[in-house]
Amino acid sequence: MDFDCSKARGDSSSVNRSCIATEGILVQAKSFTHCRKAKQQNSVSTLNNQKCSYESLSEPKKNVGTNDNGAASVCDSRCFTDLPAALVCEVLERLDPKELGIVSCVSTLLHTLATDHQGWKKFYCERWGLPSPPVTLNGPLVPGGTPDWKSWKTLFVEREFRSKSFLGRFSVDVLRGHSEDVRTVFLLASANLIFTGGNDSVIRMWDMEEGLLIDKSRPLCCTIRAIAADTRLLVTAGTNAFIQCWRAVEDRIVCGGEDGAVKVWNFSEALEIEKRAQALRSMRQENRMRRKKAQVEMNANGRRSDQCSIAMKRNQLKGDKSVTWHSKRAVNDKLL
Amino acid sequence: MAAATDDAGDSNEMIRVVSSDGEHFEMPEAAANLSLVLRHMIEDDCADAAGIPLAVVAAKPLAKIVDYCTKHAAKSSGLTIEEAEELKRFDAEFIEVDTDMLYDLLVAADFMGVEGLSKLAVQRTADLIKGKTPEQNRETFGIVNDFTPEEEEEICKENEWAFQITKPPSRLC
Repeated sequence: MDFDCSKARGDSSSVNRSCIATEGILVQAKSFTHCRKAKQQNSVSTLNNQKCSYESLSEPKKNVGTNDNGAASVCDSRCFTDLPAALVCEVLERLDPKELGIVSCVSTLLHTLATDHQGWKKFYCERWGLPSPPVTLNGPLVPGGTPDWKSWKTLFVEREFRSKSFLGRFSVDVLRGHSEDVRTVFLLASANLIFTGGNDSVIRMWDMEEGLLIDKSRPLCCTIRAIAADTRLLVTAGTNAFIQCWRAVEDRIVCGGEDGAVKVWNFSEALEIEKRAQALRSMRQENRMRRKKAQVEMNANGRRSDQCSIAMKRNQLKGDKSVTWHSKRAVNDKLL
Repeated sequence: MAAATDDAGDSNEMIRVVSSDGEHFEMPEAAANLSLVLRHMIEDDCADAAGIPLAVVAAKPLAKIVDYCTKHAAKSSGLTIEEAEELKRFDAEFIEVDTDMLYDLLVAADFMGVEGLSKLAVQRTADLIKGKTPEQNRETFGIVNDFTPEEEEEICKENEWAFQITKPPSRLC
């Protein structure tokens, strides 16, 4: 008979245990003899299994030679890891990745259980979906297994490291910037971008990992109700019956809309500047800025015009599509 | 006989169960039906006057389980919001037990197939684990650190990321 909660080592009393198990079976067989149906037989065998694991809980404390079932529950303190492995796993299922990582440092058994736990697959898939099929040619994919034969934990932790933002920050990260209700959000996971828009008629582009505002549009004079984007095109729609399109060119975004404006947004540089600015910003300044919103707008405009060259058609309503833009900035690294 | 018999009212028969250490308990059939094992026994006419023997479950946890089932069976259908709240409070108080009793309840509820209680006990155990260092977990659950120093160092390094202190979310304005 197998012991549910197999220990990797330090198993000094397996002989005693099997002895108990045998006794357990005998005792149980007697008390269940009046049951005829197969279902009962099943429960009896479960019961015996359970019994073995259970008896072992009290093992260090009592004389294992006796057939004293009752002593099991009244013995001294026992160990969590002596519970059947299935139960321990069920408990581990309620933990988040960090807690699971900490638990795996507690003992060898918990290390084994917590490292191979199926929860890692769940964490991974919940956050990133199933990993794409391996690009390498070596080896077929095991059903339910991971590409490259890595454990789900390894996959999860590696990916977690790559996207530093989630590490140690499972709490909600608040993106601050919109002055009125946000009506629409679009995640462009492949480019690590978040686009938001709403009643304040400004479309904002955030870096998903850093949680920083990369850039924002000028106010578009209407509530933004829908945003869609891929790595090439950003399309937004609002309540003024216009659809705005922005085209991405390498790490710049070129904006051409129904209003005839074309903008070139150099956002890797904008991100650098935003990072520096954020480091310098103090809480006091933040509050002051909130109070003096109008002034903030001016400042922000001033900063943006530093990176964005805007060529605005004079007559917006005629919708002349001739586009002009120029980028003065040298481009160092790419974000898209 | 240890009596744990809150009258559930809507049940016609009392089911007798016997703990591993020979104590007898009674509960309404509706309460016993919350346990998968007991329900199957009752369906198969194995619940006789001698009582259903539960060789895995000792008297102390069994008394708790009978309490739990009786309470939940009495309040199973058509709960008002207040009653649901009250049942929640009952659960919260019910599971405030030491770790030994918690293990007993985990094993017994799992064995008897009392789903609600299983969940409750599992969640309670998980809650006890949360927010503790490995050393605190060892203390709480009586776990022996059986790593060699080299292993421990390696494993702590491997899971270093889990120990990082939560940073406050970045702020933007």
